[in-house]
Amino acid sequence: MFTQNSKMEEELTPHSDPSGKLPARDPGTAATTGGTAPIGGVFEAISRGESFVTETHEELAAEDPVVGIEDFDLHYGATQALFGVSMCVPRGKVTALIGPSGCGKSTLLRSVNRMNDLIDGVQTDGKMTLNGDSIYGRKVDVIELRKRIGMVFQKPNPFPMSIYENVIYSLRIDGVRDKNLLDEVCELSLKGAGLWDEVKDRLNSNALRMSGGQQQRLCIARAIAAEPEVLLLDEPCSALDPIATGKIEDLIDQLRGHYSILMVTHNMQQASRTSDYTAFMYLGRLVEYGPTGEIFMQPKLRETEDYVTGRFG
Amino acid sequence: MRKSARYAERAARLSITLGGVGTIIAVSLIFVFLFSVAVPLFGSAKLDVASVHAADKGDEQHEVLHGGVDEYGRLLWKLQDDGHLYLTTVAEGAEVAELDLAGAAGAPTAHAMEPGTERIVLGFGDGTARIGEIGVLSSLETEDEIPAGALATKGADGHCVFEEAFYEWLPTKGLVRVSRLNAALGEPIEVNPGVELQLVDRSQLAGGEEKLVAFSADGTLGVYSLRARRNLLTGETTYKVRTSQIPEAVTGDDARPSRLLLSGNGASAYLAWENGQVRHYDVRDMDAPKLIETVELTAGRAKLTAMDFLLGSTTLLVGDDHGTLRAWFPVRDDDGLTLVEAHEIDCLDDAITTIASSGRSRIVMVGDAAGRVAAVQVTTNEVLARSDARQPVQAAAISPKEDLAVAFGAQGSAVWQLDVAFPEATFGALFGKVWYEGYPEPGYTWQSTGGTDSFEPKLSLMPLIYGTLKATFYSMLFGAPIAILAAIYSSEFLAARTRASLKSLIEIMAGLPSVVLGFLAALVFAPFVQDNLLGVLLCFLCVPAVLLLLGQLLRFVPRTVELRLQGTPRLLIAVLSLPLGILLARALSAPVADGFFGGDLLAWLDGRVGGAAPGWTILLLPVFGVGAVIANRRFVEPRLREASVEWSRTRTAAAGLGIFLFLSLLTLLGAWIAGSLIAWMGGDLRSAGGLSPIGTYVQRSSLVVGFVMGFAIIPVIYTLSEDALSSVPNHLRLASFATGATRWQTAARVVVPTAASGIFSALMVGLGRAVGETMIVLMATGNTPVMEMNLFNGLRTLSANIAVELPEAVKDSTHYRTLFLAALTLFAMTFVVNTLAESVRQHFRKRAHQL
Repeated sequence: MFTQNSKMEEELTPHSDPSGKLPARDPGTAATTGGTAPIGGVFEAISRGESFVTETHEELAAEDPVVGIEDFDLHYGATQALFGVSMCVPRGKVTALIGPSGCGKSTLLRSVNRMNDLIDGVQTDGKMTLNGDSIYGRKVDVIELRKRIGMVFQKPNPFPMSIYENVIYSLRIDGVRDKNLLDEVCELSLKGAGLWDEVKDRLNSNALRMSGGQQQRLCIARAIAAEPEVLLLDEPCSALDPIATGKIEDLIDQLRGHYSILMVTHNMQQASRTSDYTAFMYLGRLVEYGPTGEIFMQPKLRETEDYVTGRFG
Repeated sequence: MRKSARYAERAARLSITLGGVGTIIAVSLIFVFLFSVAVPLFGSAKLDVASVHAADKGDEQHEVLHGGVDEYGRLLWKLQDDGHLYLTTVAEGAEVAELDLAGAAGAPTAHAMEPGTERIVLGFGDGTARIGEIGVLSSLETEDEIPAGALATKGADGHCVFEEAFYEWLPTKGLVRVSRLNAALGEPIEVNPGVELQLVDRSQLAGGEEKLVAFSADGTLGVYSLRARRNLLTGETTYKVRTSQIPEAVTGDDARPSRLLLSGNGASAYLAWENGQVRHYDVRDMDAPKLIETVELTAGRAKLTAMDFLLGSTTLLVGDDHGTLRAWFPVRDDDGLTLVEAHEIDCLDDAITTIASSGRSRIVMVGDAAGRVAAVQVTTNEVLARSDARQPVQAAAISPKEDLAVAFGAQGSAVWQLDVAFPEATFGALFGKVWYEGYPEPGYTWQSTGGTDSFEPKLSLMPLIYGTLKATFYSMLFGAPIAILAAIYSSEFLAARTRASLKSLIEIMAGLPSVVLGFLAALVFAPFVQDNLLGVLLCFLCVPAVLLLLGQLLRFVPRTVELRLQGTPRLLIAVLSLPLGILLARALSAPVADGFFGGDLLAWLDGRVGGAAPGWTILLLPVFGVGAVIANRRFVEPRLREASVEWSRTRTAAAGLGIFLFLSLLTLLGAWIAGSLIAWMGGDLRSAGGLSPIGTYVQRSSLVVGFVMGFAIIPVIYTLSEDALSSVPNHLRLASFATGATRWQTAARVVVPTAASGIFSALMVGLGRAVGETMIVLMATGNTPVMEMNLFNGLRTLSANIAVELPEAVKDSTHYRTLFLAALTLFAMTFVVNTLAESVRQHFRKRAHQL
């Protein structure tokens, strides 16, 4: 893979970061920028640069992991963005990543399908597996890897072609020519994304003429057309109005069980409404990870409680 | 503060408006200027009555044989059938001089005058012919030198007639132009002693030889070659005569022929009868003149009433009793020379009695028995103007400057002011097919200047437009794919920093003066290509083939190594295909030349060695190549993919390589078989001409122009399409990558289609640059205005033509204005192309905003 242009770097950098800077910098300054109030011991440990163990609830041990992450570090050049993250994404469940801006949620998400490779100077350490296969191994073909993972971005990004072509894009690039198969996949994917009834009469019209919410659901249809083993949603509703957001949330609810979903969200209500598990991240560390109800109602750490109740962040 | 801001706002708006409007006005003014110079070309000719003179005493019994006007349009002369010659003034019809030209020999029985010259030949009843000249001789003198009598008779209007001379005072004080009749006949030449000459004509050949044809009362047609010998001591000229008779050309019972003409080159003699039949004799060989053909000149229906030569004495002008003028000239074909009818012009209503050719162009003055006259441009089939002489016209003349036209009749002469405008450059002549003298068929010809006085400018813009489009086509064929692929590569595959420096490097390339490129093309590249033509052509085949082969070979490398090779190493491997391909082409050129092109490609292209099959093979190769690619994708690849799931990497790679080699071989073989089949059926591209891309090689060929002009337009196309590609929003690329698409798939399926209109507009701008490019085509094409797509032939573009010819065109002449019309055409072409590009780009911008 050739090296990258600066534009792509911008694109990959979380838009939600108000300062526009990369997450997780020197622990000392991070403590002062992240939260000033005398918050609990974990944050102090983080600000001192000490290592700590993620508070993982025991319910997760019973789950069958699709994606396994073990002691994962990530550096953007000289700055470290992820610190020893360990977690698993349970099969058939919706897992939400929450945390303040710049905490590394999106970076972690994009590490799963190695989209971070497109950025200059990214270095990773630790282990990540997809259904037991290494993601960062030496022999891994990143193109083949990405075909097994679906991804939906913050801003709806349909291709400027017909709705039909958008949905079956992944099959097209695989060289599938069977028209019946393509039609079938298109219909199933659009139905899966709850879009079929709205667009079945205009499959050949340009996708850019759809509304923002429809476009985002089209992107989800495009992602599930390839039958991904895991679906990554990177703040899928941040560019949408409340009604469209509601539809996407309903859709995520319907996809539960059929797909394993890992999503990043800024919206605490969304996380509590849609996800089965929630992981709270802070300054590049995974702080607490457990069933959504527990994280929001009775978190084990005070810091998590502070965050989900809106006391900081 | 607020006030000053408002003033600044106003000042800015004003200056920007002024600048914008000024630019628009400047461009419009250029257009208006070009238009104003070019548009008079299409003005119509005029024939205005200037003066009518009554005949002198006793003239009515005698017919006028020939007439003429002097160079300054002041004097008229006419020769009557009694041998008397009269010189009169144009303005008043006052007689200046009278001369009995033949003297004791009596009235001439035969006569002919060569158009555009003063040379005349007269035949007499005693079987002699006399060659001479009739004209007006003018000299400039001062008032002191002219006779006192002339000074005394000077009229108020500044001229007078005195002692057989015409005096005209010029605006320069004290200068007088004196014009006198200058007419004399040479010594009698014994042609057919004792037998009356009924028809005679002559022409002067190279080397001073006079050739003469004469038809005598006894029915003999004779050809005579006269070589003048001048005795240096006595100053006397004697003729050495060689005679050759065509016996029994006409036997006693036959109708008598009415016209006899000898072509200006002395090759053809035409003997015509009143019923329209003409016998065409080849008289080149004095010892064996022979009849070539007999032709019906007036389509069999009408009577031939007048026949004379057009300027240059090659084209026969034939007038019939219906007032139709026809032009015939000999064309060389397989059997030698054959007369063809090139033009038919319905100019008058009654029987044409006289046809008088102008001395400077293809305009003739035609008069009929009803007294109508017409000025006709023969080549363009156009009647420029008509008028009425009010009496049967016996003879007519156009002045040497084409400003006066005269018709002579029994009741005197009529003079017109003639304004011919620009008769060679009608719309039909500029953009349509015109049948020029000596050409086998009507065609598009550009030949603006020639060596002789009788040369006719041929001003078809079509070969130039064709040449412009041809140069553009070949340079786009070479430059556009390279530029666009380079743009895709640098926007989709290169790192930002490398891309920036590459872009500025390519923009420096755009700054190379085109005269330097043209110079290199003409003096370095063209000779190199000529010496290594086959090698150069094979490169187009070998470099892509080697690249594909390397790609196939790379699949043998183990996966871990392949992943590590991605990036720069892979690029280096790709670049390696360039020298390898060139080396392969070089190595192949000798065996390929021996195997397919008879050992010498240049001779093969010329049609001297080898068969037609390789030509078709070359043409069909791309077709079969595309076919093989499609077949591969449709049928082979899916099956291979299915089958190879279980295979090892090496086995898959070997299968891929095998299929690649097999399909390549199949493509070559298929093209060869199909080519041989077409060749067997009898087609040969080399001699096809027209749209055939293959033909005789000349050093300054379109191939060289394609290369070098392609090089010149690469930067334009590259820069603009790179901009278009880079402005495709990045989130589209990310979406594609996230789906598992490779960079190439992303570029081909998402980025390029999204930027398509921007790339199209880049192509259009490149096209506009190529259309207007001057120096490269001027220096590297040979500037031959031919209309064929032959890659190995030259061409002439509108722009190069203007650059070459404008310095030598006389201001406001037809040629000059035609060049401005060429400029206007060029302006229109680039304007259309650029406007199209701009509108597409605007559309693209709007769409890009949507994304």
